[in-house]
Parts: sequence; C-alpha cells; structure tokens
Amino acid sequence: MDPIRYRIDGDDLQLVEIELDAGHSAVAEPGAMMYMDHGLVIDTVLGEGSGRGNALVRLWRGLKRSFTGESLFSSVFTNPDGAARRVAFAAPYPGKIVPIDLQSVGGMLICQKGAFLCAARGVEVGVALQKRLRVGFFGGEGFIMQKLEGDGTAFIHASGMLSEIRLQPGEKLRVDTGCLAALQPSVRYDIQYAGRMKTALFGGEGVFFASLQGPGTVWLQSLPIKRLAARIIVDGIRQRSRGWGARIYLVLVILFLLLMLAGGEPPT
Amino acid sequence: MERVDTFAARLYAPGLAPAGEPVRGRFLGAQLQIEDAHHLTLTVPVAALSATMGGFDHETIFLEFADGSTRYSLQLVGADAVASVRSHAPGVLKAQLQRAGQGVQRQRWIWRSIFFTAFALAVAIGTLVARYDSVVAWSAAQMSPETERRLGQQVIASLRKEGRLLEAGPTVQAVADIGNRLTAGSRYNYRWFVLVDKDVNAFAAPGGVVVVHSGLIQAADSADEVAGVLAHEVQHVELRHSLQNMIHAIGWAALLTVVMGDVSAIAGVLIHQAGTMRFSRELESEADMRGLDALHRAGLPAQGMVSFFRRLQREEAGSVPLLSSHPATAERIERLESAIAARPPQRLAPIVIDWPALQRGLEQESPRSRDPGNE
Repeated sequence: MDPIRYRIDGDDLQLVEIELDAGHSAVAEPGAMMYMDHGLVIDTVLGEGSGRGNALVRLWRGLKRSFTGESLFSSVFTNPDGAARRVAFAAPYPGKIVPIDLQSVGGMLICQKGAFLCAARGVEVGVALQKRLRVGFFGGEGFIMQKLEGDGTAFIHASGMLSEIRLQPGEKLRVDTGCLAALQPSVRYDIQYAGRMKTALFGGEGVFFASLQGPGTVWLQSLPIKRLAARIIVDGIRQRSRGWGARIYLVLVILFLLLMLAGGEPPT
Repeated sequence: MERVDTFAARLYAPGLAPAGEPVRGRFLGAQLQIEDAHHLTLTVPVAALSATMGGFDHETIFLEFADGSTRYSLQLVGADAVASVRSHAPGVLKAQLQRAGQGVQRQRWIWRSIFFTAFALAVAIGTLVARYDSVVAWSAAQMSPETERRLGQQVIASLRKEGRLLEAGPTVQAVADIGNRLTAGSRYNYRWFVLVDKDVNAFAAPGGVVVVHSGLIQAADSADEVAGVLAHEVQHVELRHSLQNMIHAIGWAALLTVVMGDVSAIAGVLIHQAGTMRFSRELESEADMRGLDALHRAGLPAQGMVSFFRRLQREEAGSVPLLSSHPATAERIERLESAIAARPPQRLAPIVIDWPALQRGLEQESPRSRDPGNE
C-alpha cells in the first residue's frame, strides 16, 4: 500500500490530484489522466497493476476487470525518484469523486460498474457477482458489480451528487433502483416491491425499490448516468420536431418554391 | 492463543467503527461472550440472539441482539467462525442457523440448474450442428414410404403441367427396361419418365420417380451409358438423398418463416427442392459408389458410367447441366475408375437396344399425342 496525498477539485465536474512521493505509484483507468508533473513514469499493465501473479493470472484478472466495465489494462503512474510529483485524474462525466479508505470499510467495497477511477497501488478491482436473481434483474445494478479490495485509498466516481449514508445494525433504507453507487459488503442488498399497484404504475418510482439493510455504509448517487442520458436523448429528439415557428417557416418555404415553379413555367 | 471454541467476528453498533470492531466470540452455556482487542467483554444471553443472513450476497451470518435501545450486529468472519458457531451454538440458535442456511442452499441450487440448463442446451445445439448430416439422415429415415410416394407424385404433377413429359412410348420403355434391371428387389416401386428437354440431365425424386431428359438420351452412345447415369440417380432415391435435402430445406424454410413471418415459403421451398435436386459432394460420391454396386449386381458394364461422364467432360463441361450439378468431374471419374479397377471381373449380361434407332424414334415422340387430357 502506498499512502497518498490528494486534493479533489471542482464542483460537479471534478478531478482528483494525487501527490506521489518518490517510489510511490497510483493506478488509474487508461484515459483518466488529465495532467501530471514532468518525470512521472507511465506504465500500462494488464490487470490492476498490483504486479502479483504470472502473466496468465494477470490476464484473467484483467478479463474480470473488463467485465465490470473497466479496461483490460490499467495505467500505473510511478514517481521514480526525487521530490513529490503530482498527477491528476478527471471524472468522465458530471458527478462526484469520493475518496474511500478501504481499510476503514473493512478492506472491501462493492460499487457499481465503472465506478472505479483511480487508487493507490495495491487496490485490486474485481467482480462482485450478484447471486440473487431478483436483485440482479430488478435491483438496477445488474448481475455484475465492481469489487475493490485492498487497504489503500480508492477514488470512485458516480454521476450526480454522491451522499454517504451509514446504516446501523438492522436499519433499513429504500432506494430508487439505479441510485446505489457503492456499498460496504456487510450491507444486505435486496429489492422490495413498491407495495401498491397504483404506486408501482403511476408513482414514477418503478415497480421495485432497492432495499438496503445495515450494518454498513452506502453511497447513493442522485442522478444515475442512464437517467441523465435518457433525458438528454428525449430532449434532443423533441427539440427537432418542436416549435410552431419552425413549422410555419417550413410551410412558407414550400409555398414560395411552388409559386416560383408555377411562375417560371413557360406559357403554352 | 486461540481456543478452538472461539470464533472471529465483527461487531457493528452505533459508536463503533463503520467497518465493525474485530472481536472474538464464544458460547458459555446459555451466554455468548464477545471480547474485543482490549479485552473488554460483552455478555449476551443466547435467548436474545437472532441469526439472520445478510451482506451483499445474503450469505453472511449475522447474530443480532439489542441492548436497551442499541442494536448490535455480530458478523461471523470466515468459514471457521461459521463452523464453530454451528457446532457450539445452543439448540434454539442452531435451528435458526439451519433455516438461514437453507436459503443459501436454495440459491446455489437455482444457479446450478441455470448452468445445467444452459450447458444442456449448448450440448444439444452443438450435437445438432456437429452431427448435422446424421440428424438429417435420421429424420429422412423417419418418413414413411407413403409420404415419399406422395412427394414423388407431386413432382410428376408439376412436371406434367409443363406438358413436356413422356410417360409411355418406346424411349420410356427402353429407360424402364434398363432401370428395372438396376432396381430389381428394391422396396420402391419405380416409375420412369422422359422429359423433352435439350439439356443433358437426369434427376430422381422421392418414392422412385426417375426422369431422364431427352437430351441425355441423344447424347448417350449406348444403353450402357444410360444405365450408368440411371444407376447413379436411382441411388439418390434408395438412399433418400432428396428427402435429406428436403429436410435440410425444411430447416431453412422454418428459419425463414420465423424471420420473415411467411408460412407459404415452406411449400415453395419444398417443391423447388424436389425438382432441382442438387446434392452435396458427399451424397454424389455415395451415389456413385452405390451405383457401381447396382451395375455390378445387374450384370451391366460399369464402364458406361465413366465413358459417358468423360465424353461429356470432353465436349463442353460448362454447358452440360448434368455436370454443373455434379461438380468436380475429373476427380469423380478418377475415383470411379479406381473403384472399377478394384472390382473382380464378372460375366456381363448387356442390354440389347438399338440405340441409334431409339434416338431417331425419340424425335418423333411428343407428349401431347400420348397425353391428350393435358391441355
């Protein structure tokens, strides 16, 4: 584990700047790097760059990573010598970057696909398979989630606002499906029927809620990227066909063209 | 110093670390003793405990209890802890653990059956693809002779409509004479036809329908050569090749129907298949070899088959339909010749037909004079 100092900058489009001491490294998704000090060494490795295992083991770990929405490879940024150097990673879409000290959550964190942004070297990104069929189908996160293991600090990113909620033993929380960004493995993750047909059909919350039961900490996102994307597409399509002004203008153009054609015809 | 009866656990409660406090637990009579790293102990009566399955995968055992308004949760860490609790816990708790464990078992069973079903499906599809030929041959063998006869009847009916089919007369009689010698003892009741068509071709339909183009009669030099062709075509019937083709086509038609949503496609594909008769190289080769056997049994010279193919090939390979539907002729001729060479010589009983006279007579024959009803 490499201890790191970091600074998270920005409001809704954030970046995290990590300061690496000599000999220390950070691991990130390829393409996440935004800027870095001269002298840092970039290496692209299979898997998460923990350097453990032979080539085959690393390939297997890389494949598992790719199932969770991450790249087969990761980039390792190492400060070879001398003074501390900085490297910054930017979030790929609007949202928040949250640092999570894996040690403080018991060495393991389960988060939604693609949530991992970067980490101190030694954090392993794996697959957490959802074993409950109903949760996999209706829980909003699918059957495959990411498992971050290790004892360093990991930076996860999710769209919208990320709020951390600590659940006490037995405490239950109902969450809109898709809004679950990360959870401690001790949290029981299940789904719950919305309760009444009327609510399920017209309540706009969907037929199921995600049900989270403590003990443990959960991180919830206010705006799942899927919802944002759907909203943008809908608005984009609507924009094209909207506006009476545009339609009247189009009709005028057509009329004008017809008149021109009629007028241009030679008399017979 | 770890004693066997203690187990590793994490204790969660308000005020404790979010990740849980690492503790060790131990059952003492009707009490559960929980000891943390600082040797502070917490004693809970077993009656106050309830076991639940929790965690992300619902497979982690939690022992829950309350102290006043504070709720505690004790997470068992590792398989050893689970085993220890299962063996040392008092009866009431054991029953709860058992119930909790059943849920886990059920989950495993569901996944196992999903994997098993997927595996079985994959194996079934794999077998179907790998043993496609055998599957098709098997399905062809399931068809009743009556079905075959009716299929053949349909082919004849559609040919009759074209009005070029000779059903009787000296040429048909000659073809039947040759053919019947080749098919003696067959389970099919063969019917022989001549189609007035310049193309050098012949084909067989299910149920023992063999049609020879008049062009082939004209191109052949002797009855032996026609016998060679017939011996080959007859094997397509005997070995149910056209049925296999049809079943193959049914598969495609079914696929088409599913994709296009048009049921009438099936009928079209079937009739077309029965008429055109294109066979795979394996089926052709099989028909060649079995055709040689048939010639041998009938006491006819096998050389006729080869000489006919060879002459056609010499003349104009590209424009002869019999060759275009029977590809790789040079290779086939070679194979046939080596097969003939490998056979012991036998006494032949050649067919005596004045072939040039037959050819001249054929020009005078017309389907209409013999089939007045077909107008």
